[in-house]
Amino acid sequence: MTPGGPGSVARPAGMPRLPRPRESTLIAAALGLGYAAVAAWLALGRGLLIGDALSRVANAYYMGFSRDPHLAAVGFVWNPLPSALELPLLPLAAIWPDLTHMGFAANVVSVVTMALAVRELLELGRELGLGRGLRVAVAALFALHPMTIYYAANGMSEGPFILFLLMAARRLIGWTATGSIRSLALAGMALGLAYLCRYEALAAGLGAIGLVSVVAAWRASGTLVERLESAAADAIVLSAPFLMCVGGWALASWLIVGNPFETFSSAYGNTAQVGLAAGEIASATGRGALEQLAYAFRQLLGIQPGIVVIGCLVAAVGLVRRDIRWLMPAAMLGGVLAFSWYALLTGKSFGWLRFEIAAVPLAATWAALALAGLRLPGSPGAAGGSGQRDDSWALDVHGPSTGTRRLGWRSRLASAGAIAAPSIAALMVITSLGYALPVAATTMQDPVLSREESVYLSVVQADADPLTVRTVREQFGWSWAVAAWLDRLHLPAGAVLADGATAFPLILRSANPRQFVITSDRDFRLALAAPSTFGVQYILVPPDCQALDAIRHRYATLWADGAGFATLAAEFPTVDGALGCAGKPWRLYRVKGPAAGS
Amino acid sequence: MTRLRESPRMPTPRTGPPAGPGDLQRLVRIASLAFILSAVASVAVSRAWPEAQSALLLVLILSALGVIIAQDLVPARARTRYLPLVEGLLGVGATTVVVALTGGSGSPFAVAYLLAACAAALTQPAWLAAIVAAASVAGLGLGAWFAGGAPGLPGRPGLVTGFVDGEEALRLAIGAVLILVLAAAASIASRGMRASSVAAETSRRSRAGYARDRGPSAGMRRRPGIPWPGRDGDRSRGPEHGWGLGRGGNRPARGRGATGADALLPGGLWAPGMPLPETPTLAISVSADSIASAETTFERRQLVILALVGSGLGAAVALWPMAVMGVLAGSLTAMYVAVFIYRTANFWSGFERPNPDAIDDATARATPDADLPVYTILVPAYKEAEVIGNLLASIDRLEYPRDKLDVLLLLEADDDSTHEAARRMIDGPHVRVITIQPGGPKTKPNACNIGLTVARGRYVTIFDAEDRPEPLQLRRAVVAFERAPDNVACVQARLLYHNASQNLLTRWFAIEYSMWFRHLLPGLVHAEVPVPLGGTSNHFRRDVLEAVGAWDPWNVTEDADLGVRLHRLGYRTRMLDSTTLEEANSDVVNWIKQRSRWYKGYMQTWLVHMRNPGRLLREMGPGGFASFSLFVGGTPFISLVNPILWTATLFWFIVHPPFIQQLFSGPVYYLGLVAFLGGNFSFLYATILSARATDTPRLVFAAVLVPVYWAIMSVAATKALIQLIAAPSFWEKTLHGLDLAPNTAAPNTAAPGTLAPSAAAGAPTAGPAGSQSQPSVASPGSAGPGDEAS
Repeated sequence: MTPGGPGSVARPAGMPRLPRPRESTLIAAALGLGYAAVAAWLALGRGLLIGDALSRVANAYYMGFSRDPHLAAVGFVWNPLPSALELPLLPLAAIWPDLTHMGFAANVVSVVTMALAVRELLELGRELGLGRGLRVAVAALFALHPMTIYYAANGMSEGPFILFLLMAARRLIGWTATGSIRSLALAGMALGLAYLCRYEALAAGLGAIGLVSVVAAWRASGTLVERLESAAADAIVLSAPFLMCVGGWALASWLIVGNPFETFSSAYGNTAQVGLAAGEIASATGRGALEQLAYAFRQLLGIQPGIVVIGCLVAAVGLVRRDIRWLMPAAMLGGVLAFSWYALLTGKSFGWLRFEIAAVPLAATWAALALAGLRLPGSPGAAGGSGQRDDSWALDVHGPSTGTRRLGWRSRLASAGAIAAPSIAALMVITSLGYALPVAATTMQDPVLSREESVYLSVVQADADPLTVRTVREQFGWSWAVAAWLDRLHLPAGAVLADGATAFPLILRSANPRQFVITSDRDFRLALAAPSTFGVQYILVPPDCQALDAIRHRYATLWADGAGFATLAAEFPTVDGALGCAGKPWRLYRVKGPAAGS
Repeated sequence: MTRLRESPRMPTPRTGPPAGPGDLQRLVRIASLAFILSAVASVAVSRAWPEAQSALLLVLILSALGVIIAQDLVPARARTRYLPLVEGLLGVGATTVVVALTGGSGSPFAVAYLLAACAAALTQPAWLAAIVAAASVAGLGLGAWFAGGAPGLPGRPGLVTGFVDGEEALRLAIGAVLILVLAAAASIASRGMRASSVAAETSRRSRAGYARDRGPSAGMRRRPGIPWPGRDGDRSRGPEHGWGLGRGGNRPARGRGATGADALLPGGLWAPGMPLPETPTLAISVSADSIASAETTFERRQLVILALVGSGLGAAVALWPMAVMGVLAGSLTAMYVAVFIYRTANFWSGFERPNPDAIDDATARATPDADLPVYTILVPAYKEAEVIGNLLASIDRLEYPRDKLDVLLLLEADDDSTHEAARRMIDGPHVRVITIQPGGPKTKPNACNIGLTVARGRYVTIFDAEDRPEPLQLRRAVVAFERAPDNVACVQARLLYHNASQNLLTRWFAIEYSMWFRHLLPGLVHAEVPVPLGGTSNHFRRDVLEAVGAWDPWNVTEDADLGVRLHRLGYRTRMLDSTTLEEANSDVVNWIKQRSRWYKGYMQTWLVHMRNPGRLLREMGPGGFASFSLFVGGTPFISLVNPILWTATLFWFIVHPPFIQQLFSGPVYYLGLVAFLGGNFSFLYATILSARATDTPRLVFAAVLVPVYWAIMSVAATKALIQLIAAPSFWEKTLHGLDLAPNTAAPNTAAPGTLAPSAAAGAPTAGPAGSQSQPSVASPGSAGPGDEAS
């Protein structure tokens, strides 16, 4: 494998494809193995299960293995792509039950996607003409960032989200350089896929579309109208797949559950959850816009302290080189960050640390761009009679900028001590990236800035509070007990009524998933309205401190007294103290007769 | 808005042979047997008429026997013209018995009256059809009367007087009107076909005779000429069929030996005054009778299979309607998904590498003139006097030495005005006028075949008279052939439109062409699968072209057929990085006609090559075979199926009828979802990308609206399917000269790899420009500005 030859730098559309870049794939594969090891250690070894990851697996599980398997069972509260990626792994659970029992399918997906995200970064470095050492260094500092490792290993949707964002960033950078429609189209598709992972991609998409329109209009030739037309055409190419994903998902949601954006309106959605936790959020993030913004900024610098330095450097290099490529990741990944800050300020967000994770790929992308612009000696993209090539990257507003201006102060500077200057700048970039690693590791254990991660990571800390560790490790212990209890009865299909949104770990755990009637089943309402007629023998009721679910919504006093038609069969205590539920048990009721009003 | 004018000398548009009565008769026989079979099945299984069941089965089996006896067992010499009458009346009688036994006018089998009347109308003279139709109406009434209580029949005690109540009377009246109207329509529709049947039958027989005596002669000498079986498509031409393609005493080329001296070369391949070329007679060695022609749309075997499948399906539908319809919906959806996935993959492959074989200008000019081979340009033209000037100007702009050019202007014998214009304007010996004598099918491929026999060039290409090839195209083609491996027999230049900005339709059309020639065809080339060629600007090695039998004069997209045939015989096609500008069809009605002809041609091509699927599979390999079906077959297929699936989807979303849920159950539903979302979006997005890949960003806005274009395509595809069955070789005329521009040729200045419509749009554009595929021969006299008076 040769590091990207000269032809790889500014490959105009239509030139023969380069030989397959196997180096980056190999590195990514090796990293993937490492991530997998961490994932196995965290999830299977230390027993770290994360509800959000587990519930995505459950959504996939409902599609294929529930009593009523159908596509819409994936649910519309959370975007479907992580579950869809997990679905093909689930049949393997027959051989390896942990895929569903421990939700390890989610970890597999996050491992693979994060490794591929690193590959994207390596490919970006190659396309930018970075030497092998530099691009591996940048990629490594991204790949070994504690947030990257943790979210590669823990099965959350951040893995695929970052993969698709990096894909889009790489293609947009390519488009800025070459104007290749293929790059633009691929960027649009990647943005669409990113949206199908997380809603935040909406911001990335809008940012990218806006910037692409401006750049295209700026760069087009002809009259004003022609330039606007050209910009609109490029914006359509970029936005069509993205809008298709946004619109298609909203349409499907609207057709099936009657609401295009469930996460904002559903009782299970983000808005509802944030509303319930508003007090707790405020106590952590502070009150008032200023305090909250400061909180978010501390989080940002906590995981990527070098981002300001790198941002300034890449902007400076861009100005000197007349290269605007750095704006592309800024618009996209910066859009994601801005979105999370906006959500926090308007009280729509938990203000988790992971909402700042876009800063990690942003810094890495900027670092790659800055290093490419510095043209260090030894890198294939370095100067050495290759001024033209570099100009081909530049925003070609004033025509090629070869020669003339470089004879000014810059050439003198170059001849004097400028061999050192780029190296110093490069060192700053690399150091800033590297400095983030220990800082982020510390931040992630900070109970104020990192309310989620610090708790979860207690499972790997030697000096952690044993109660916290137990809370994390036995978070879903109740469900294992319920599963064991129910499986012993060998109930027929549809004998247990449960709300899938809260009881998902149980359904993943049970050897007999078809015994449950869950919210995604198309006859759930029927079973809920008349449990005894439907053949329901048991009803599982979450403790009344939790968010209202469908069952308690229908039978308000069921958890407390059986609502007059059911008798308590068993109780399963929880350890989760997060929302004041500590000790309150899940209850399993046995149905005696027809429910009142059914 | 447009200048749709028809020249007073407009030829009969029916230039191809119509469906012969033989085809229709076969169709009728198959349909009646299939109907009887499905009736037997539904009677036997449904048990809806228990007391009459055995009688019904007996009658139905007797009817089937009757059909076989009448159609197959009666010796030819015993056939009289009354036999069909007897057959028809017996059929009506049997239907009456069945109808009477199954409940009168409400019986499902009453539809057989309609079939009988239409069958007679399609295949028999009007008087006979009238008798059968009248008998059908009478039978319908009779059946109802019996069922309503004729004395002596089981079931109902009968009062003759009471048999018609209001509802029954209404049903009877509607039935009678339906029978009469449809029979009349069928009779009128088939009149043209019947009228030309005599000629067609003659040719059929004479060919049979030729086939017999070819045996001994085959060993002695090779048949000269291009061996497409001839058939007289134009009855006005009388005995002159038999195209001599050889000359100098050679035997006639076509299989019309039976017509004797008439068939010898009718002296006049060359216009008076033209020097005879010095090359000797071509003796084309052909394996082409091994690959069939579209002269017959359905082969006998295909018809039998079709009939078996059809009757099996009919019976199955009668037995288990929902299950079978569900399977049908599932396979339709699966095929749709296969076609769209293949097309998308193919598009992307071409999109990633649109011009792998680009040849720059310097390389193209590098070959010294002396080393260039003689290049033949075939220009088939009919009634295009106005564009001869444009053509000669385009030829002048070609950077190719005159003495190496061999331009053959192929003009029909009756086209005086073009002859006159050619005489006036031809300014050098490099242009020859070849007069196509009447006799063969009056089609572009036929003219090209004849032109090929006198071609001198090592390479051959086709331009339409109004084409504007890029000046370096021939030189690029020469370089491309030199670079390519020996098995590359054809390079296809891109076709683009110069009037893309005229209206929305031309914009869509231009985008579609951009996609076709920049992305889809290159994708096929990368995959080494059969490439259906575009209508003009395809460049061939002449030796190979002759060896594979050149163009099929009966196929209405002979170019696509030729591309597939080349592939079958082991030759490959490459794309040429050069552009020819044409005129896009700007009128919707006209566009539909043109498009339906292309779809029909693709269906013809698919059917022709599928006559022996096993052999096709061996010759093309599994990849080529699949690609051929998915691409050549898939193109019309997807347009045909689109409206069905769209309607079903829309219906489902709005009405939510349970039967659609039954049809699209389980996996089929998801497949349908993939087809609907994935298929429509990927086509839409591919269109947007192709539009953006042109030099006119504005086209992207038209691309967003392309679903409307698809709807028009579906209309054309439906029309094509109907025509394929009713009039397989009917050549839809395409009107030219709709681009409203004065007849001045604007040079094609397009650099390779650019779309030039914007450049040309501002310039005065050529007048009567042709449609892509078969412009001249079938055109109704292109309405150039010269005809302004009309």
